Amino acid sequence: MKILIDYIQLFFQEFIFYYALAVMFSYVIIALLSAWEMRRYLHKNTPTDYRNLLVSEFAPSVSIIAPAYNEEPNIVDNVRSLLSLHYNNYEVVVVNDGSKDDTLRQLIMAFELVKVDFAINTRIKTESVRGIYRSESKALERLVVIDKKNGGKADALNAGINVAKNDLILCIDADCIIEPDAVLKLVKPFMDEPVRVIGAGGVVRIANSCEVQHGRLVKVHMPDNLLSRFQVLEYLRGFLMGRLAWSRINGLLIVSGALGLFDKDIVIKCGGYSTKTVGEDMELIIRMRKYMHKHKLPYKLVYTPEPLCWTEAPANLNVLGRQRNRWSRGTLESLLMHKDILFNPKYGTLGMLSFPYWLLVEWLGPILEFIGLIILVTLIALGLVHWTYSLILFAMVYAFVLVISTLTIIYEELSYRQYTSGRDLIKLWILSFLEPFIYHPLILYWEIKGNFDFLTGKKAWGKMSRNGFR
Amino acid sequence: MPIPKILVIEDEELVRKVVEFRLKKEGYDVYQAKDGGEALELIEQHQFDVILVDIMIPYVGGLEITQKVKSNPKTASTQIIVVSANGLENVILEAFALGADDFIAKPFNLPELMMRVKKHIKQPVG
Amino acid sequence: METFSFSATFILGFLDELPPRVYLASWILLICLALFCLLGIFLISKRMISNYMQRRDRYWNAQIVEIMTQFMVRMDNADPADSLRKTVHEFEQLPFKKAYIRQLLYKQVINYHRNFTGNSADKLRDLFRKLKLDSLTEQKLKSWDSSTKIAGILEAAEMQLENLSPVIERLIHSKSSEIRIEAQTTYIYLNKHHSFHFLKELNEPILEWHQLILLNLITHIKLKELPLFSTWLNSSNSSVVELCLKLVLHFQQFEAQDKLIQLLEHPDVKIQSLSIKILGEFEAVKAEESLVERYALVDDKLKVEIIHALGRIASGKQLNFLLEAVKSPVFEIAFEATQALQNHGEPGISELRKAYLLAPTITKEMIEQVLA
Repeated sequence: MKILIDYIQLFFQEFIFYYALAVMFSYVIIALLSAWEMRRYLHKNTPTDYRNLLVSEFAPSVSIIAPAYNEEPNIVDNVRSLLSLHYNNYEVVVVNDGSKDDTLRQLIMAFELVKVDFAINTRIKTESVRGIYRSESKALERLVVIDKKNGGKADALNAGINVAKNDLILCIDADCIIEPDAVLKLVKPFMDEPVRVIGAGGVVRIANSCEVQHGRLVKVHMPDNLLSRFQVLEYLRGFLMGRLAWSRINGLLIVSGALGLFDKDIVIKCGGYSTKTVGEDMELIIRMRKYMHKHKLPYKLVYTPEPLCWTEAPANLNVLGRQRNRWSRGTLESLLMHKDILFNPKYGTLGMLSFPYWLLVEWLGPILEFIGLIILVTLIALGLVHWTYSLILFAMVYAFVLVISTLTIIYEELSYRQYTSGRDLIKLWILSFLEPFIYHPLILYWEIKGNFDFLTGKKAWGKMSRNGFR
Repeated sequence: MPIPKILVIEDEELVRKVVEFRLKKEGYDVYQAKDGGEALELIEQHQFDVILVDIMIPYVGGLEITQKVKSNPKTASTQIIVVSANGLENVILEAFALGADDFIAKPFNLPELMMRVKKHIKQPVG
Repeated sequence: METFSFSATFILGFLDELPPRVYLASWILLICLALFCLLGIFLISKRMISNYMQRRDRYWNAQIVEIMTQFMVRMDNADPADSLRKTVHEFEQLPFKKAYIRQLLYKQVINYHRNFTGNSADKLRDLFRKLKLDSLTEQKLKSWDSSTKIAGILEAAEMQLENLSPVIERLIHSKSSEIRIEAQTTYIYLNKHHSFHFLKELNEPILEWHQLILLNLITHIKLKELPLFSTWLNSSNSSVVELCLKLVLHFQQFEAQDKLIQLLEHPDVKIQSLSIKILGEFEAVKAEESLVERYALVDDKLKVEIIHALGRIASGKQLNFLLEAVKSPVFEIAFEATQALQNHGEPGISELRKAYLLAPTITKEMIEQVLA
């Protein structure tokens, strides 16, 4: 027994310590890379006059695909805002994924839709389509509405892809608020890279408590709700620091499902979104990258750090818990479905860096942390803890987290500076002190639970219930 | 003759302000809206002689407003001048197909815009 | 001081006794704490400074907009020179010597200029020069920072600062390809001279984005004499060919038709596709045979393009060919062919009606959609 405890203690002290150091080191690298990439992006795009794209007859054509499930309260406003984006050559495909509420009827009434004859080019198999609707008004020619049997988000997106007639597809959540310039800013990278760009992702921001008028964001505020406020910090860190760094080395493994512009050809050749996972956005990216590597086609996946998309974050523990549970299951599923990539030099950065990072840090991290906590509790119970040493170790991690969070806020301050009120900034900063004690343990719990549910084969769909803007 | 009423629908403040002041100087009664929602409310309340509308405005687009105004018998006599940063052929054709009375590309010439407004006001109503 | 040295000794003494792991952690902790304090101070001071600057800018911007609006409104008065003088005087009443005021003014005048043309724009340019704001553009052109340089070039083009064209000419040989291309276009733009010879010498690919900018500029200059862009369609640089094809289309240079037909066999698929598209837009009846000949040799995507072009040309000679294509198992081809037949008007539509009776369901659906 004594020996066992010694070993556990050794494991706790040595392994976890050096693992933590390695993770911290990776964060430092990520912070540096993202600073570099942010500088490059701002440098390149600040003098850009996007009107060039707006007025050109050679601007690439885009189909916006917005799947909607029970979105009755906001659907009309949101579609309206999609129809008035600053772009010329685009269509809006709204997919009603068998909503149980009045989503479809709202659309029909607001936009004078009628059912039309439409031959669907079924390149990706989906649940059956009940009808295609278009507006009787000539002013709304760019709107197409698909009504189909419920099949989940991935299935709805696939149905949209089948109907979309343009070369680029912008996949979004119908309940997001898209900035008017979003298409312009996402399309540009498709035109100014020397290699083929297969996708472009954007930053997702939290819309809670922001002023929204007519489906458009008018003023940015820090959420009143504490839980959503934590997510602001978390999203900033994830998008401004994490993804930006990965895009620097062309190692992005995920483009948020809330906003991503893709090369339709490649998406179709890969077979579209997978309905077998709850992490369809991540899984598609991995599959697209794999496809490009397999066919030895040079490519790039780009990322725009600009705030282009605003989403309503879960404001209560239940909904957030389900969302995070689903996210960790989605990640694990996507990684397992493509485990052959791991340390496979054939896949370049993807196989040697991104994929291992996701597995060893993003997935393994919470699990090791959880084990560490259990061991710690055991040791405390056995009275074997050296309090001073443990405190120093904890203080180190805490101080490091504070540095990273502060750095995130500084990145935001130096780039897009959305929280213009000084009080909002202070609130955000204070939050970074509390996060490790309040928010982080919750997230950890849900991640562990997600893994557990995955192992036990539970496949509950976390339904998002939304209050709606207005 | 009553003072002609003009509505300027434009989301760019700079342009809206200049056009508004310039029209006021000509002695018109000028109203302004920064998005399609505001515009439709104003159109409900007033009978305008001329509406200047940008195509790419938030909420309800310029083309839809054109169509709504022209298909409503109460407002069909209102003259609509569509303004767009996008002078592409298909956009212009679409605007006219929906009943726009005139089209002017952005960036535009201010005196020209004034002349066009004047011309549309002089035309007998109906 | 004493307490400081005491605590320093204490901490160092304390550190010495730790196991290596904890020792390392302590150092990281100390570094992080120091870094955290520094970053915190930076963040707060940054916010305070930018808040101050924002308030200041908002205040002065409001004043500037006020004067500018007045300027725009009284512009076409009887005495334009007087109105200009008045406005310049009004601006000089502001603390005009201050660099930030000039910066704000610079941005605003350009911003106004972007939104107006003709007389208004001329007057805005006069104002810009009278206020000596072009010296700011010149500074930008001489900046060491490439994005500032590019911004300067674009602004010189916007404000048509011909006097800066010697400075811009030097930038044509810059090391950065972005600067080169922007300088090149702006140079042509400012001199209104069709010195398109650079197209011949260009070895590197022009990114699609730069093609777009070039196109927009070229199509907006009132060139004294428009060159025949088909001259450069033989270039070995495919991006130059691509650009010239787009120009041929924009300026409707029908003379290029024969060259376009030759380009159908160009090794670059993108160029083949563009040529097909343009032949369609030109409704080039004489290209029909070549298009049909190419059909068997190209991939499905180009097949669709060819059928689209035939639909545009709609000479009526290819009805059977198109009817055959309607039966294609490839959805895109069949659908495009249906549309192409519909484009032919009555003869095509009656063929479609005939075909409808015997067609499989999916083809029926297509015909229904197209004829709806």
